[in-house]
This record gives sequence, structure tokens and C-alpha cells, in this order.
Amino acid sequence: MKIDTRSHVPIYLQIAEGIREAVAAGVYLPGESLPSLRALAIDAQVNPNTVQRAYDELAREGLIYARRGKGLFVADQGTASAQTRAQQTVRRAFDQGVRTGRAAGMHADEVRDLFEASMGDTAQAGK
Amino acid sequence: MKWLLWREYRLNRLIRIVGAVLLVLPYVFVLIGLVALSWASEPPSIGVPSPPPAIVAFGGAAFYSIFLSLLTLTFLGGNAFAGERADRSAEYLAYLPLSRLRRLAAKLALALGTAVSIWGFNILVLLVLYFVLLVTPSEVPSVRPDDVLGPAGLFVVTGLVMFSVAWLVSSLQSSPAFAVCSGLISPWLLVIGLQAAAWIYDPLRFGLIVAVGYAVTCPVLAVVCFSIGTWYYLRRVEP
Amino acid sequence: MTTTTETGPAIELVGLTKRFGRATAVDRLSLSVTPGSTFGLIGPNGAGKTTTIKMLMGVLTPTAGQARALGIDALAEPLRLRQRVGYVPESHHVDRWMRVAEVVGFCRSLYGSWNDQTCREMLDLFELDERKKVRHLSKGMLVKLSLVLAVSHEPEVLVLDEPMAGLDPLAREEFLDGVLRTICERGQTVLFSTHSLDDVQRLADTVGILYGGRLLVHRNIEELLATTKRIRATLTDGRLPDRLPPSMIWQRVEGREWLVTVGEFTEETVRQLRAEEGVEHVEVIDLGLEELFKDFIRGQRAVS
Repeated sequence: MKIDTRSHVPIYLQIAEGIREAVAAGVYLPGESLPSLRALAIDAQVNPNTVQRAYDELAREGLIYARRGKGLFVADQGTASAQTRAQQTVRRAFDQGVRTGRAAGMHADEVRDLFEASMGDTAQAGK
Repeated sequence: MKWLLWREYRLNRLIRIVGAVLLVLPYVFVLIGLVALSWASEPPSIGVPSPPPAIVAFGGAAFYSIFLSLLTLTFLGGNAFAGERADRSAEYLAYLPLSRLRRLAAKLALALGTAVSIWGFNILVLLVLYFVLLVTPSEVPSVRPDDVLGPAGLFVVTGLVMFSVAWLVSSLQSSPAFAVCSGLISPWLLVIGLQAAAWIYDPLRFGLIVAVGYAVTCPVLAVVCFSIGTWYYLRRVEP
Repeated sequence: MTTTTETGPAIELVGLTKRFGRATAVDRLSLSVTPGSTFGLIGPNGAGKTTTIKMLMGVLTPTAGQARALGIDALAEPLRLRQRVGYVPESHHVDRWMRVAEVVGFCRSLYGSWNDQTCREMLDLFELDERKKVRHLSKGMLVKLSLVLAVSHEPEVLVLDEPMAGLDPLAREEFLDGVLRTICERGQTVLFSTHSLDDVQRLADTVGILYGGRLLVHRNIEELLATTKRIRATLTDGRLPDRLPPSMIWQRVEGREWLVTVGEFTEETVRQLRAEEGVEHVEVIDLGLEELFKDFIRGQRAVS
């Protein structure tokens, strides 16, 4: 997991988002265990306390739960919940883009063209 | 403590090598001389004093070797504290749970060990020669105790002063070379000072004053320098 | 592992001061580090980080004040302190003629709590060849060796002085790996000094900004990021308002644009500013640690 220390997003939230994306993408399925605190801390190269905060955040959301002595697991509704969150994030980004376009005086068609272009570009990058 | 001693031993490798050379050098010269003489084709001519027998030559070599060991000990003393500062290993040691006292004890132990082994070897040679003398008949003039004790005493006090001054100067700064040089010139400076004092105060008894003065001042100066050097090193906080 | 009965801070500096002649390198520095947490001391070169650490390790006599680790005074009982505090220096002066195994043997003889297994594991992790002489080790390997020596005696506190300075990115990652492993396994208290903000963000729970020997800030890192914000506003007359925001760290006016960085940020701060005459278009900007750090330094420079 890669952490961007230059971003203004706190590291623990970046980690939480990373886990959320992984769950939404099916890397961790409901009922499966998540990486241990230690493993994730070493992988992401951050303080284990920060990872703990990320996990606490996700537990609060209901995405994951802890089983005493056994670690952390994805909740049954985890995948669905993560995907909903992902949708909300995308929607927010779109809202922001549209608002910026409107403020700059763009028409709806122009904004739509930009959206199509963006979809095309990211599809290329994804390959 | 074992590791500390080992470290001190390894740190002073160059000095040990020089010390070993100085130890055997007089013997090597005597050997070469004797071999050269035995190859000489003509008998010694009348009027030229005959060379001393081998026993005396080797005895002289032993004394010279002890004399040269004073240099070795001065090198050790001068390198003791300044060497660590010069290569900055003192900075590394400063952060370890290692007391100055233990470090100093190891250095002192190395110096003592070196002195004991060099002198021990040479004294052993002298003892062997002495027994050989007892056993074999020869025309060697008997050696009086005074002939030996005088130079021996001179070596001892001079050695003490050189080592102690080098030890003190090593403790105060970070150039081993400077500390060694200070140790080496200190007897000379002392003699010059005593000569000046004798010439001013009592020129008639010049020789006596210088000799007695030297015999007394050396040990006192040695004790003072060694104490101050030791005290300063133990009290200092910074590497 | 030695049990500790102290419930106080793992590291405590009280009014620590160091003067060299007329220059003050460290000025009445006070901070405490809770056990188990990681404290990052950041500051530009010459801020006094190394001097502070030297006083903490009992290698430098303070002009005033006290430095304590695990309740042990650094000046009074330095040897006892060093038995329980691991140290990784910035510059390494291990005897260069020794082999790695000999360095380990030498250090091992000094500590009562040396753990051979830990040492072995870390040497293997870093792939350090025991037979190699120190003079043949690269800088990265030398730093890793220092870490091995620092943690092998199972200290409760780890002190690192600019540990990753001058390391190539791979060596940095490997070193960080080693540090994290030991934190995860043993939960030590860590104090490290650095001028790399990346290191601080990754490792530190609490951060302190040191400048000119003085501690400007001493806060939990998340809290610091959350409560320090930059405000951009337009000054209609090009004049500053009479009431400047409290806890202002730094400000700059260029033409009509006013940038001001404040600590202790709340909604109230913004409301007050908006209410001021001659101030318009008040906008709040989040700061990353790097910008935050720079603003603190700029603010100090403007004052002095």
C-alpha cells in the first residue's frame, strides 16, 4: 500500500481508503481476515498506531469487525458498504467538477465532453 | 573487560610492531657485528683494543633494548587518549554504557603489559648471561652493582617522565603525535631547566645538582602529570 | 526485558539549555514523550536537534535544565541510562578495522540485557555479512548495523539522530522496515530527529518543531494538521485589520492578497475574520506538514 505523505489527507484516512478500495474490489471478501497491524504497518511503512486508527475508523463504519485473539475481518455487508462509499466519493468528485465548470461558465455539453474524455483517458491508463 | 583489552591491543598495532623492532634491533646489531668479526681474515693488530666478548655485547644489547622500550612506552602513552579522538572512535564509545575508568584501566593495562614483557625478556637475557658467566671461565671484568643500578635508575625515571607527560598531553588534546613528542622532549627540557638552575645558583656543584635534581624531579613530575592526565580524562563529559 | 516501574514519561526534558560562549544552541527546551509513542523532532540544520540528543544521552553537559529517560537523569547516571536506551547516530565512527562480528561481540560485552536471537534476526534481515570489515560497508549497511546494535540490547527507549540522512531510497526503505519491525514487536518509545517531513509523517505520533534552539510546537501530529490552517483573504484597502487572529503563526500581504496561517483554528476564527471590515473572500486552506513546517519557520524568521 502506497502512502502519499505530501497529500493533505491524513495518513490514517489514506490507509482506510486503501482498505475500502480493496474490499470494494473484492481483494478481501466478507468473512476473510485483513492484514495484521504489524504487516500493514511494515507494508505501508507507517507507524502501527496510525494503522490502528485506520482500522478503528473502518470498524466504526461497520466495514470490518474484530474477533478477540483472531484479528480483524471484513463484515458481511462489507463489500456492499465499501462500494456504496466508493459511489459516494465518485459522486462528490463529479459534483465538484460540474460546479467548477458552471462557475467557469461552461455549458452542460462541454462538461459532458470533458467527462467522456476523462473516461477514455483513464481507461487507457488502466490497461 | 576482555573485549576492551583486545580492542586496545588491536588499536595499537603499529606501535606494537615498532616496539617489537626496537626490542630486537640491538640484538640484531650485535649479531651482525659478531658475525662480521668472525669472518674477518686478519687477526686484530697490536694496539687496537680487542672487541668485547659476546657475552658483554649481548648484555649491552639488553640494556639498549630496555632503553629503546622507553620510546615504545611513550608512543603508547601519547596514543592513549588522543588516538581515539583523532579517529573519532571516542565519539562512538561515548554513547555506550562504558565508564571512562574501565577504558583507562584497559589502556594502562596494555602499557604495563608491554613494559613487563619487554623488560621481562631483556632481564631474562641478562640473567642467562649472568649464569653463563658464573659457569664459564673468562676474562670479563666483573660487573659491579653500581655499574648497573646507575643506568637502570636513569632509565626508570626517564621512562616514567616520558610516559607520564605523553599521557597527560594525550588526555588534554587530540593529536597523538603531539603528545608523543611532548613526552620525548620532556627529559631534555627538564635537564636544560636543571642545568640553568644549577648554573645560576651553584655553578661549583653543577654536576651534582643536575644529577640529583633529575633523580628527584622526574618521579615527582611523573606522578603529577599522570595524576592530572588521569583525573582530567575521568572527569570530562565530552568525547 | 527489564521491567520498569516508572509511570511517568519515557523521555523528559525540563528547561534544557546549552550555550556555547555567547551562542545559545538549545534554549529552555521542555518536552515529554509518553511511553510507547513515537516523537519526531523536526527542524532545519543548526536548530539544536543533535545538541539536544547529546544532552539526553549524557554526552554533553547542559548549561541548565535536565534531561531524563525512564526517570534516569542523563548527567547523574549516564551509564545506567545507556543500558536502557538504544542510540543510532547520524555519523558513524565505529572502529573501521573491526569486523561486524567483532563489533557485535564488543557491544555485547557491555550490555547486561543483550539478546543474541534479536541480534541474529536483525543481522539476517539486513543481510549483513559478519565477516566483513566495517570499512568495507556502504553507508546504508553501516546505518543498519547501528540499528542492530541499538536494538539488540532490548532497550525501552530508542533515540535516533537523523538516522536516514544520506541514504539512498532503497536503503531508506530497508532501514524504515527495520525500525517499524522493532516498534511493532517491542513497543518501544522512540525519539528521532530529522529534517525529512516524510519520515515524520510516517513514523511520528507526536511532533515537535525546533528552531533556533527553541521548541515552537509540541503536538500530536493529526491534531496539529487539523488545527493549523492557512487563510486566504482579500484586503479591500490593502490594509491589515486592527484585530489580527490570535495564534497567528505567519502572514504575508501581497497587493490585496493576504495569507495568514493560524494555529488553534476553529470556525470562530473564520467568522471573526469575515466580520472584520476590509476583509473579503475569506477562504480556508488545508496545509500539509511541509507547508505547515515552512510557515512556522517563516514566522519565526519574521519575528527575529
